[in-house]
Amino acid sequence: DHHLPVLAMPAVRKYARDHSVDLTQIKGTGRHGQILRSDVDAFLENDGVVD
Amino acid sequence: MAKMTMVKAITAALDEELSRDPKVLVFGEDVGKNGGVFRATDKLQEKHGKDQVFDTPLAESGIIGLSNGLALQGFRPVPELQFFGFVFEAFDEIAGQLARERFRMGGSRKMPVTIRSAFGGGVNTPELHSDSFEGLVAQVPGLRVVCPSGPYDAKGLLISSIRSDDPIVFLEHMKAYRSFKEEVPDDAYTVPLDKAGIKREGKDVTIITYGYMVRLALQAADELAKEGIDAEVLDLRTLAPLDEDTILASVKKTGRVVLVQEAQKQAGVSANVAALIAEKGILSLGAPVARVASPDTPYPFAQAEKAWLPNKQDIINQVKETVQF
Repeated sequence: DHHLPVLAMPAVRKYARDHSVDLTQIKGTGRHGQILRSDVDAFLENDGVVD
Repeated sequence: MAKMTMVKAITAALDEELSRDPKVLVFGEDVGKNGGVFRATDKLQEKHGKDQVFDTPLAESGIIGLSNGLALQGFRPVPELQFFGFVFEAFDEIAGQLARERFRMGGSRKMPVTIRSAFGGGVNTPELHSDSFEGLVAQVPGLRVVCPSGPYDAKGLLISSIRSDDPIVFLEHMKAYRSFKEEVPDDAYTVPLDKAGIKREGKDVTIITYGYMVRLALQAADELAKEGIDAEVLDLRTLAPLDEDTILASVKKTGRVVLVQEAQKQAGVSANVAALIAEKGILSLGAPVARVASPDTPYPFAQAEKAWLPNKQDIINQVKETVQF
């Protein structure tokens, strides 16, 4: 549900933005459910396909 | 080169500058014949004479007022406030006069005053001796606030301060005075003002601190290294103005920050550094900026110091929390 706030630290948000990744498409694996840089990398390796 | 304590390095810096320039004057309560309550001015009166190194009446506002008058007459005063807890007596002379004088006079005079003062906890002093009031003077435009963490920096920063044409508050941590030694060159040398120093390189997290806490941060970093956490230790050295470039470069490198100060959380200068990082370094942050500080109470009775002051373990715990956020 993209209306839920996305949890990610500023550095991850910038990383995602630099790689044209929409954070609402990613499920975070970090503490507090936050999206990690590694989650963005996994998403990119997966060609942006949401599992 | 000789291994020496911080207090000896400070004496050496004063000795150098008194010899170099007859306009340099050292004065305060018991700094003359007695050599200072911490021996920081030991034998300086004997060597340089009573016209250059002298005792004053016990009146802090008078001491700084005297400094201001002497500065206006072309001298380079290096007054001592015996303990920085007594700064309140002199606050108008510092913040209301000294800091503003050049501004007020349109730059037609300079105020090359360096106020030396002891502060800092962990040595069981009586009341109002150990308080960290650097945050108060760091909020006064026109003043520089300098705080060395050890012998090498102390000598170089004090020489730089005395040679600077700006008013400077030079804070000397009592626990750092004699608790360890460093190699200090025999001759005069300077450590630049307004420049932070990286005391330990690291890639995982930046510990930003100053004063005696630098030593604790370095000890914490050694322990963290055993657990695979590579901490960078940044010593602010000049607390106002802040060295933005060095701070931001380190934050950009590590993405994680733990600010450590001995002062209470509502005091000190950590909040200024945190705000700077929020303004100019936020896109590097991989975790919230964290602060290790004392509780927001008046400085404790000596018996409670150990429980109250931030210690090595506090730093280790916070760094782990920040790295694992």
